[in-house]
Amino acid sequence: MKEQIEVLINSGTSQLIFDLSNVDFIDSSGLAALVSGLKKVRALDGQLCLVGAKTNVMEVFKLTLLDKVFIFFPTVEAALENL
Amino acid sequence: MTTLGLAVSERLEYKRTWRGFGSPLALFGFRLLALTTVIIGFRYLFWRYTSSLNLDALWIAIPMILAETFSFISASLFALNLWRPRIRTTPKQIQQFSVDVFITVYNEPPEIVRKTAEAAVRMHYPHRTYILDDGRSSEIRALTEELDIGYISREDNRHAKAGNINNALRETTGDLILYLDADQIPSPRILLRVLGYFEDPRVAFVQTPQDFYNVPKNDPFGNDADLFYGPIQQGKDGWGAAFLCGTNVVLRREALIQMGLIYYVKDMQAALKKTLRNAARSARSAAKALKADTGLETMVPAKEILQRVQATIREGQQGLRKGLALEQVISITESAGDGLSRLIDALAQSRNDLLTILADLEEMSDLAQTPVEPRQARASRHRIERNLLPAIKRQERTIRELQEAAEQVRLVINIEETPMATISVTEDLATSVRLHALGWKSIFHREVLARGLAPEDLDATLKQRLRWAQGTIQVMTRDNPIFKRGLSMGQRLQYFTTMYSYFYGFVAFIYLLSPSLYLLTGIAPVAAYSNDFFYKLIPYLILNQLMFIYATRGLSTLRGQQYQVALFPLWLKAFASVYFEKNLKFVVTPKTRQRGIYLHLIKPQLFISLLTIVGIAFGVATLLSGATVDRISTITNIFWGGLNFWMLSAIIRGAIWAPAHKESPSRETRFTSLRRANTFTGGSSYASLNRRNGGRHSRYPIIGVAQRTHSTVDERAD
Repeated sequence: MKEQIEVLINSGTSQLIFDLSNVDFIDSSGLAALVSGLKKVRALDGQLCLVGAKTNVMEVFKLTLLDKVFIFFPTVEAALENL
Repeated sequence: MTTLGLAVSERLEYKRTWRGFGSPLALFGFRLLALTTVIIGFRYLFWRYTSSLNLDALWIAIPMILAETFSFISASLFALNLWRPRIRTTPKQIQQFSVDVFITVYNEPPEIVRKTAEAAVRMHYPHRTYILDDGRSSEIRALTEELDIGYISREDNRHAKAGNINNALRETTGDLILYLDADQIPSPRILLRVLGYFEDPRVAFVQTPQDFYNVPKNDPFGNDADLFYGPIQQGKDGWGAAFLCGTNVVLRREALIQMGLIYYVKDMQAALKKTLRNAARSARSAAKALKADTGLETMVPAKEILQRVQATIREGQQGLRKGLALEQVISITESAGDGLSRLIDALAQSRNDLLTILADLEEMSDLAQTPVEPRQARASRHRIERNLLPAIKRQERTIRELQEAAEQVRLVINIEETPMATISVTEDLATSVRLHALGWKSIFHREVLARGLAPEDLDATLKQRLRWAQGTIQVMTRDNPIFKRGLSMGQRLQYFTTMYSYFYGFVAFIYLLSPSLYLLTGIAPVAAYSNDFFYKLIPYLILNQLMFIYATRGLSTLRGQQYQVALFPLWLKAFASVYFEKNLKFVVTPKTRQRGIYLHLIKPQLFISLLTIVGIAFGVATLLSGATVDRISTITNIFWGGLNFWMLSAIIRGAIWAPAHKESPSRETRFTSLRRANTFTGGSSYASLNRRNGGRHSRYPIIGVAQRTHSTVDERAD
């Protein structure tokens, strides 16, 4: 995932949406990859949105207060509207 | 050549091996003398405890009486040691054993090794000679090729000499093994003389004396070992406790391998138990760290790994309890170790992730011009710092614990069978204890059948003595024969005696200090140097000395006694080092003389000597001045101080000793002539032994012909 983000960003993309609706579990390395991606798009004045996070995945974000750093949307459509 | 040979053989003829007491009557005489000494000694000590403690100076009176008690017990142990000495006669020769010869080498000069190896090749009786080279030297390897003998070396020097031998045991097959230190030149007859003992299948080893061809006439460093390789070992042999002494000894492979296996299993089980317990503990604390209220658990994929590890550890522990095959427990433990490593990786990974997140958030909040609200990134960062950093720290601690547990597993998995015990820097004593505990028998054969080099300077002497002392104390602390199952009372007593003797350092210190203390301050450890005191003390001292002289007639024991006292700082140091240092080094005794003056090595002795001289001078001055003093006490203490100074003088002379050049012919010449002489002494001493056994004369095989005569009889069978 980390590499994918890097490839996207290097190709000039600065608006990213991550669909987490199929993610059941996120560990520290996943979290680190997302934060690192966020840092990079922010430096390019872009945005990184998370979509459809399940409750236990959300727990992890809340635990680290990262839920305030990322922007969450219920669906991809909602996210696209906001970008 | 002839003249020189003669001169040396004269010296050797003078060289005595102990012949026991000579007759049952003489033995009876010794026992009577010993009993009287002990009784008189007990009476004296009783009186000292009950009526002559100096109550005004208990700080010295109590150490003194303890020292005297120690000496009394020493004397009693000496009497017991020699209570029933065993003088063995050479058994008939036998043929059925294959023999390997191990020459252990660790950087000794090649010319010394060559002498030993050449003599080993020349020994009678078919055998294979190997050099076990821990120095991994090309010169030694070339030497073995030249002499067409085996060369065995290994990658590391783990466990020093014991490890070296254990390695060679794996690569050889002989039934019996002769151990030779690099400098110990064997007589051609050594195998012929001792192999017969192995006809008794319970005999594990036959020890022969160590003797030195380079000890100068006055033995400046007290190296002469005649007392030990005479009455002491023969006395121990009488109790079934002849000690293994590491060189000039033939061992039965079967005994070593059996012992190695048994201890391997024992040690392994104990080590596995401990390792699994530690692994379980570290896994528990990892679980606790994961469960901690930070919710870390949900972020770390370690949970599953951890559960599997804990299950594996439980399986291993149950296996041990239920007597599962050792290899299976080992392999379970190994996979628990792998699990621990995976767990460590997972934890380390999550720790690094968290640190990365922290760094990224920090960077983000520093980018002031970006549209992100720095406040939120900072809030998150603070939360992570507050909540997660302690967890990370805890994790780091857990990781360290897990790493230790995993390392322990790795070490345990790699434990090897060690036929020669490796728990002590004196592997021979430790091995000896274990063989005896398994019911193996040992034999001391008193004939000198190999000659080697004694340390040639004080430094080397002190190093060797220190290692012996440390090793003995190590055995005492790690595998104490007093409490070890399988040993007979006699064997326990004999091992105890040897260990006990090393406590003498404390005692000597008190004896050495006492006279100058009195002469300079007037403080005495006894209530009064009264007539009563002398009437009780003097007979005890005389009897004590008589007993010793009676038992060691014809042996040079003087220098040894002096060094026993003078080495007191060394004995104390040995105790201190065993208790305070974890890993003692096996210090190889240097075989070549380093020139120099060694006064710096004996500062405590010099200090006490000086103090004693000052005390004596002061005492003499007060006597002459006519001041009112207790004349008897002063004279007694002057005499005592003089005796102490004389005891210490040996080591002071040793420290400044240098060989007179014309007195020492080259090693080679001396040795060749000595070997001729050796044949002669060996013969003569055995002839006398046979006389005592009823006039049967035997001739001694000069060449390896298997026509051995008389059967073994011990004149004092148990």
